[in-house]
Amino acid sequence: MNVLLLGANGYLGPHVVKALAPHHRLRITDIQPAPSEIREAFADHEFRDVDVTSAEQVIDAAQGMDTIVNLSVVRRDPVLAFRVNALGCYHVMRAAVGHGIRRVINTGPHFTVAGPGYERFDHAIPPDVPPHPGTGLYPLTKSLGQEVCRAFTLSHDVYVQDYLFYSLRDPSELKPGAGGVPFVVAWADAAEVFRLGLEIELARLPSKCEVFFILADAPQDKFLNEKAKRILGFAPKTDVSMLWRATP
Amino acid sequence: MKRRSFLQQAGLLAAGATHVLAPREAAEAADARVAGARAPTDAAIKTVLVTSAHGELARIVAAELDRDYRVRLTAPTPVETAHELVPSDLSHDESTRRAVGGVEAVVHVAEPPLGGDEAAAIDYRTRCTYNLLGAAVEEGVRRVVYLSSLRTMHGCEPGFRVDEDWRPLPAPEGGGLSHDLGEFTCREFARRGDLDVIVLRLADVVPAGAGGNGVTDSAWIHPRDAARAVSAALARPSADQLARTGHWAIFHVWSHGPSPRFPILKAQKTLGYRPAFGGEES
Repeated sequence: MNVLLLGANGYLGPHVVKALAPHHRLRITDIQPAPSEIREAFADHEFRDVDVTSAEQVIDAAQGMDTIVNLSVVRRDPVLAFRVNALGCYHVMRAAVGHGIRRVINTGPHFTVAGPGYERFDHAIPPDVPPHPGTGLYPLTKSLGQEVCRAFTLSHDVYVQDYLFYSLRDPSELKPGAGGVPFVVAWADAAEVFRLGLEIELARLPSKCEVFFILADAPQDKFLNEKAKRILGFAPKTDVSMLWRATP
Repeated sequence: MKRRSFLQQAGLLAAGATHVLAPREAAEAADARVAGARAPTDAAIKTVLVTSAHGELARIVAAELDRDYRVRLTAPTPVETAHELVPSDLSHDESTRRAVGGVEAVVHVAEPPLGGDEAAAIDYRTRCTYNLLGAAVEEGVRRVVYLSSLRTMHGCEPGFRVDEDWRPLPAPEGGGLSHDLGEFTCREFARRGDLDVIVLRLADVVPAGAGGNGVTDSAWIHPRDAARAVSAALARPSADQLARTGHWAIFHVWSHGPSPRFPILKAQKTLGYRPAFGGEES
């Protein structure tokens, strides 16, 4: 499968590249040039500089692709957060529709849907809840991007899977009893879900726009990963539960 | 504490006095005007900010509100007006705070500057709305009237009466999506309870000179009817009423609706809205 990766040089992108490279032909893009070690390690894939705030660049980059994976994000800049996180999704979806690309994977933080209104009060929070991102710049703009994706799926023959994360860790950082937010996943497990998302038959998705929480099993039962397991076959390998185990 | 928390998130510094919206006073003023009573004294007149002063709709809204309020306009570029004008492109900067400083309420007409495409409209109705409402929270503004569009509902299944309880289904093209995203942005501010937001989903606004003539195959609204709806949204419902509905209310509004697809009964009952143009309601 020809896969366009947008925003691929951030924190998560290199892990996704590593997970997908053996199975797919990748067009690896970002506004920043890829580090030389990444270019060398994946020299048989294509690299481009693409700014997701430019409709023309995104549409051009999507030419000949079967799937778009949008990893782009800006968290704090009051202009770029809107133009990357919200308007960027508009450009992605226009590109998908224009090129007849039926599979899009979008990404964001957990509070794209489960903002403070849920997180402060509730448990067993599933991904399929009305989005309450709150007024924080990062969650709100990502939630707007998700709304853009939803609108396109209602009008066009395109499917969107939205993967939401919170805390991503290297297994070496998982210290017994260290605690932390109850929404943790290892980088490699997070990357693996993209491979699953490219393999799933679109007809097996419950609808054309589906949101998934991507986290390892956590004992608090605050956020649920059951949907990702059931539909995508997500099976995180790294046990993160030691973060909350009582230490002697 | 919530206001301070927002300001910290948004990166804006808290400053200025707190102004408390007095919708009950405004409602009384509106009632007094209806009854032919004297206009309120200068000291009692509240200031209302109207955005998008570069457009005809904002100018007509300003003229309507001028009877009961001191009107301040804002636009990204200078415009000729007899009202106070605070130039601002509603960016994340001091000009937006100056625009909302000292006002009782904001009427966000939300018309992007001319010449933009749908992407520009999305940017304007999300980013600029966010900056405007963030500054409004900071300055203690208690009410925002957001002028949206019935195009947000055009994807709803034909054959039903689509009232304000329906989930928006905008098409990605044609203006509905950008308005839906503008509403989305406003809703999150209302959910926090820092200010009241009233959304008026207007039918397509015809030019004031057209009077609706020749436009009969779809719902439309004359800008003077839209302005009357804005005036009613400022005067009522009361803050207590809005608190009971989560500081959030939506109304469908048009002058002429050849089909009953988008009923305006809620606007009629709650706002006392009666269109002066377009004939009887279907």
